[in-house]
Amino acid sequence: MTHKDALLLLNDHIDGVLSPDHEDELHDHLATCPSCRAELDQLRALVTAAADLPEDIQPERDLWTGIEQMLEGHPRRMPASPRRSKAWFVVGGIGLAAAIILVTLGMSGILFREQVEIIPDNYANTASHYIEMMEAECRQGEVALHAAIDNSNESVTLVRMRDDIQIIDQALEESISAWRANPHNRRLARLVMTSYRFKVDLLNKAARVASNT
Amino acid sequence: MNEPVNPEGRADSASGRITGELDLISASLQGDRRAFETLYTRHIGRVFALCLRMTGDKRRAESLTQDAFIRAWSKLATFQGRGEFGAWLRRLAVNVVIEDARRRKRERGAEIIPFVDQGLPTRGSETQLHEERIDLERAIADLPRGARHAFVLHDVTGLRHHEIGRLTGLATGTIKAQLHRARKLLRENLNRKGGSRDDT
Amino acid sequence: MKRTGTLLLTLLTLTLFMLAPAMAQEEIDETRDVAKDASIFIGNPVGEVIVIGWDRSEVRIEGELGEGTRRLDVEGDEHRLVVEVVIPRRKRYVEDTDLEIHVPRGARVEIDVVSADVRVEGLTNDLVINSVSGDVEIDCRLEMLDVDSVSGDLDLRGETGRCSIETVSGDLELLSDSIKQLEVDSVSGDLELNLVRVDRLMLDTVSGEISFEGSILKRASLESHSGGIELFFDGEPSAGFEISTYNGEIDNSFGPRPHRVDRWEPELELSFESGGGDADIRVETFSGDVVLDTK
Repeated sequence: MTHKDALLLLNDHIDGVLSPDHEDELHDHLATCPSCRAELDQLRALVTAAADLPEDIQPERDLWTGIEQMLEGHPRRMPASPRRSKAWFVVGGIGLAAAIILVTLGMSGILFREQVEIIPDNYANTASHYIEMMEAECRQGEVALHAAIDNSNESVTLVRMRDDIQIIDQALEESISAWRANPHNRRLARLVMTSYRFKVDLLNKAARVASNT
Repeated sequence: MNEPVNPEGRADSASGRITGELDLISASLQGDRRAFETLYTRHIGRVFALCLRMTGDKRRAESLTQDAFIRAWSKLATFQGRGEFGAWLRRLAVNVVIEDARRRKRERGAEIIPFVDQGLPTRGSETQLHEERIDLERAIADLPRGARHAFVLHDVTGLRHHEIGRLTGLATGTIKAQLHRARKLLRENLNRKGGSRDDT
Repeated sequence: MKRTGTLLLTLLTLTLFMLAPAMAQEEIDETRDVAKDASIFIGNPVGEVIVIGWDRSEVRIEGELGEGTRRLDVEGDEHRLVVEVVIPRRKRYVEDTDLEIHVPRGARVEIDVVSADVRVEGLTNDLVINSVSGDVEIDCRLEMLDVDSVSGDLDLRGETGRCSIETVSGDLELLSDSIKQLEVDSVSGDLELNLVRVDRLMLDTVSGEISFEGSILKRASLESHSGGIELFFDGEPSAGFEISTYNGEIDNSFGPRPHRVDRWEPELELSFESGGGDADIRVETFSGDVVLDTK
């Protein structure tokens, strides 16, 4: 590889788009060429400085007023009237366990993909519905858990279970807010699912423990 | 346990306390401008930064930022969440800037109004790092348009070659060439400035 | 006559009074003939349960009933036996009942406890344990193991075919040569898995720390919210990896570094193949750090 060839490849190298063969050749050349190494250092410094520039710059003047006035003249094509999917009606009727199965299916693709394709605008609502439904299901259990703790003179086990519910709630709060910002991130969806599954399991366990104490 | 002891009891509603972007988008879709204003407030900084750097022109950036949000409002129903809303919005802003640039290609006259310190978040700080940042921002603003777009989208914003290709309609080879040119010009420019600052 | 009657009554009352605690602290030593693969259910809310597999076709129950308990039920036939400590309803507090039970090695055993500690050794068939706050210790070569616990710690040794463990805040320590399939759910309990050669591994936790040492032969799926996940392999693993974390860090000793999924999100992703890539290993966390390294 000539020195000139190497210079041409430095950009691709730092962008990570150089082929492995060229990568090897460049590596060998760099070992013997201080001027190319200096060139590379400079390029790196520039790219790093560019990436470190602030992402956020606030405009000096108010732009919203101008935007708001213009919204009037830009009527929006309204999405199809929000349809609640059939699956969710079914969920309402068959209880939590089945709901979790359905929703898990949904998350693994079957239900959700269908909904996304048929009613894309409703996707956001679907996620919200899921969260609301799970919270509603859990709420009764939580109230009962608090009551059971009061009735059992602060049973150590139940108190620990309540602490663990708080751990799960904290996890849910974090993952839900990330999921809401990235509704199509299936990993986040899965993490939310897992935390809810833990919460439901734990509340069921608490119910069993409470009935024993 | 199956009987709710007190349905109105102490378990507060988690669903009530979590209000996220999706709710704001849903509300905006129903015509709620306050919800859209909240989205605006959340994203204005990044959208403006992008427009500012791509144009190198504060006034133009303001106007294009407004265009971008107006377009976002009218196209909100097409946001199908391929990724994050903020990213969707910024891609939309990039389109607005590039369309504008194409229109202006046919215009005559100076296109780059030199960048001023105003609008930069680093104003007021005297540290060398901030000076270097300001130097870099100015140097970016001074770049020829194609090189500037490639550099801002790739090195500042972090988009990949193919993503920039989709947004600009340019071939990957062209984008790479513009990017390499930008880096070369920037280094020359910054070396000059760095040298002159060291002299004083 | 009336006087004699009163005396008798007093004596009777006294006798009963003296007998009652004697009954409550009754020594237990019972033996039943059962089949080699009998199903045996053992229930003891408070105290200790020790189950030991032996080569005889009989169940031997030894121990002492705790004060306040009503009785020990031993019921069933040679195929299904129920051994249960019965506590009066609405009784809030009873003394420990300690049981040591020998059962045929090949028996299927289910143990139900609340705060009793459980120790099981020498079994070879299926074992199911439901516990609330008692600790569980197992040393067996089982076909199937299923443990459901709340806050008790779990200490497992030996080989197992299919193994499923649920715990809330209890820690799990597992030392094993071979497990075909291991599934663990833990809310906040830490999972420490050592020397495991495992075909399929599924670990889910909210805030528990996961530490795995050994080899994964076929498939692993590990998910955590805030707990860290550390995998230490015996040498370079032969696996394809799919690692991601929304807000944590990834430290990989076997190959490439993670990359950002989106410039505007903290999410990191790392997928690569190592060795022949025989196993599939998926690791996901929200904010927990991921470490891949050799032992």
